[in-house]
Amino acid sequence: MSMSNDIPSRVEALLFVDGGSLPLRKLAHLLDIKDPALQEGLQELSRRLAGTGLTLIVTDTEATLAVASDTSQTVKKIYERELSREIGDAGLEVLAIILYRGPSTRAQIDYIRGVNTSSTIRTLMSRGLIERTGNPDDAREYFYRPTSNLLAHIGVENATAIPAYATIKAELSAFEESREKSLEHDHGDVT
Amino acid sequence: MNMSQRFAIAMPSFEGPLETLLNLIEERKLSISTVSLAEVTDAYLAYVEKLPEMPLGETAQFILVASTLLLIKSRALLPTLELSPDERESVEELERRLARYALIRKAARVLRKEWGKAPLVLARRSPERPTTFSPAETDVLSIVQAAQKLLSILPKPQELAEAAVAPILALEDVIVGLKKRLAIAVKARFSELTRSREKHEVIVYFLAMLELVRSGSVSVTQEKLFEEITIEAEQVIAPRYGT
Repeated sequence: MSMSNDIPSRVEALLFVDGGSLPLRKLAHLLDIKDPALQEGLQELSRRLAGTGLTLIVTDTEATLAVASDTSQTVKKIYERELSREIGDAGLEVLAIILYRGPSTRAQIDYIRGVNTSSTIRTLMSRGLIERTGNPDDAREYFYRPTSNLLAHIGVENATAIPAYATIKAELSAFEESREKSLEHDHGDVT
Repeated sequence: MNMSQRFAIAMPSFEGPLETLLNLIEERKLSISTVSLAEVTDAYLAYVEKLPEMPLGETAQFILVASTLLLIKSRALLPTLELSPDERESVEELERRLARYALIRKAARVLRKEWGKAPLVLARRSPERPTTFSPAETDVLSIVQAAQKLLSILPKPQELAEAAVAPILALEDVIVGLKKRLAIAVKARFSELTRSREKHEVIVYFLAMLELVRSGSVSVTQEKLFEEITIEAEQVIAPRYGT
């Protein structure tokens, strides 16, 4: 049958039977394909889902089927209680760092906010809004990343689709570059 | 504000030195610069003095920023003051951190607008696959057989109901019948009366006989245990009731 090798269809089927969400590594393993082929399949599935009641959320670590924003109002009523999650400024700032800057360590988040963030991070983790993965460069540290739950909650399919992503991201990276520069060169007088 | 207070109950989070400093600058509608930092230094120091008890690490962060601010302030008051490269770097770094933190706060406000506004609803997470005990040799047939076996062991409610409603002789009828018979025969043997009767009918006859004894209509004799019972009419007269 021609469908048997169709990666997007098989991804969709696997996501469906497992309740909507699977880690990318597991998907690649189940389909016995490499990551680039999986990424391609995910993009194709995303395209196919356009205009249907469903959409695909992809993070660094997992893929998730979700109700598309056009139809979400219809089903929102059922989940009213689940969705009415409040969040404080501290939590939102940590999420902003992780979303706009990218996966970050606790030390980086602490330094940017100028305050210890461990309890905020713990709460965000327990609410399923962020997840942590090992830092390949330093086993003592974790990278905190957005979860599909978080992306779903702000209504985007992937982290680059958040509002003003390009501009804020660029401004943030400019800081990191300027810091590196200033560490290299000795500046003139402070004005 | 209300929201963040409620959030703070769940997780006590400190307002750090950057946040404090940025609030002071924004309150005064200033932009982030060494000039504005020099301007808010006094207010910042006053804030630090009133700091509540907090972990040492947090306090140290406040003090560190305070020292840089003092450097900036001194420089503003004494323009001839030369800063060392390290001092310049810490001043620049503080400005950068503030500007970046301001940007993060802006980004957080962007997120706040989107927060839960148009969520993509996720599938109801299928529960973790339940650890079902499923022995390999179980199939539908064996379950059906087990159920049938169980059913055959259980008492049959229908049969019980039939036994309960099975027609038996009415005690009154037997009493009337006995009296009639004794009115004619005067004397009768219990075995004769019940010769062709079922066991439960015999019981009814026995009860009827006892009833007649009690009312004084008949007298009964039995020579030995389990021997023949002989019934005799007490008075040889017309029956008082019955026809």
